[in-house]
Amino acid sequence: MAQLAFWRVCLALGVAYLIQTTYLAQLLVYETRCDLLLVVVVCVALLGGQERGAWCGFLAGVLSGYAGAWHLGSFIVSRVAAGAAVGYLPRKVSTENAFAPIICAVLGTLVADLVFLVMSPTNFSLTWWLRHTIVSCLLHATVAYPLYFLLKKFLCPTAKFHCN
Amino acid sequence: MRSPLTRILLLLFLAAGLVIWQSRSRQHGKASPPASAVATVFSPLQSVTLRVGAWFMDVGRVMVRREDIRTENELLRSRLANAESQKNRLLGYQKENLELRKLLELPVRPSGKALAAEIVGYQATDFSQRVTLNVGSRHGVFSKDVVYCAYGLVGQVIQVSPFTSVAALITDRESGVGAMTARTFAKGIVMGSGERLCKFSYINFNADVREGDMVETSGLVAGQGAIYPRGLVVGKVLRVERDKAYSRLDAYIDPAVPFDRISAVFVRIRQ
Repeated sequence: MAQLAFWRVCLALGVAYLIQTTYLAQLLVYETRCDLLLVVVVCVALLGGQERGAWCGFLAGVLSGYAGAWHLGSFIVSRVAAGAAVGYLPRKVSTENAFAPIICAVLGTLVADLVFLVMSPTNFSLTWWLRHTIVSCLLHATVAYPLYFLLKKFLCPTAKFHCN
Repeated sequence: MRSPLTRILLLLFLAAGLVIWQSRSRQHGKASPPASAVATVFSPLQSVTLRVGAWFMDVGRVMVRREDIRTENELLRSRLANAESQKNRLLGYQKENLELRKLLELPVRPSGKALAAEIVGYQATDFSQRVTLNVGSRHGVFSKDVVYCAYGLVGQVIQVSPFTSVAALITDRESGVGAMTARTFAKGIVMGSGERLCKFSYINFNADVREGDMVETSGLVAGQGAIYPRGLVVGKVLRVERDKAYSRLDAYIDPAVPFDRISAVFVRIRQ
């Protein structure tokens, strides 16, 4: 896997956090928000591999947990799990696959939401969680494609196709 | 060289440290130093981002709806005049009320000072309903201070850092507000559901609660939350559910505050 510049990953996360907490949080689709930080984690994991994905997930979890002052541990572990799971994929599945960002966004959302449901001390109703996860998967899959190419240009500007 | 798995485990240990640090600070209603640092760095940037967006929106609105704005302005001016006269009348009643309470030797209700605050950040995910305010402990804000706006009750402060604070909205899953109906004084607790509507529970089964009833804070403590002053508007009853088998009465409330449209609030700080 290529070594993505750490500061570039941090900057991408910082910008995503700013957009998420100012404008994106107010945009609701079926009472569900798009989690841009999670999509950035998925894209970084796809581009940089498991370790970078986990690190990015850790930072995204810290930011999400601090923003809500709530369940910091659940946020960190769910995002690290999503980053590590997606980062593990490219070894098995070719990243040359045109649908990789979409598939990975859905997988990352499923992993993150499942881990959060299991770990979080708050009881979420299963119907709420299912609706939230399905809509989130669709939203993240839509956002993942353009964001992946945008991040690829920003995180690995010299790479012709993929960082790895 | 350490394997990726070892590094991920190290990350999780680091996470455990942060969680312990955070929960220890939380016991005192404060943010941990790393959380404070993140809030201090990001809140000015969030404020600037929101202002830039608002400026563009304003410019667009002026260009597209100039006539509408003029009409709206006139309407608002007449409403303001009306509100001013109503305020003067209410101030008279308040004075009279205080004098009567003094005559009856009733204790004077504790009053706080209203501190204006701007919402600089919204929750990052769907799991909680919280906002970040641009006032913190340096401005006299404490944990459990009540947050409200012109429409009614917004929520309560749950975590304070030097320059910012996090407030849980009444729709948050962990929120509980002692409330009563304005018409019949039927008391209960308004609990957040994580969605748009709140649930009004623990009401006496025989209480008279109907659709359309206004619900306001009762001034009673619910759980370990803030003590909300009596009379703040919470919302309107949308639907009532009676379960005869369990003698349970629940009502669903539409909050009076349009949470997606407010950008500034008041924090009732202690004097």
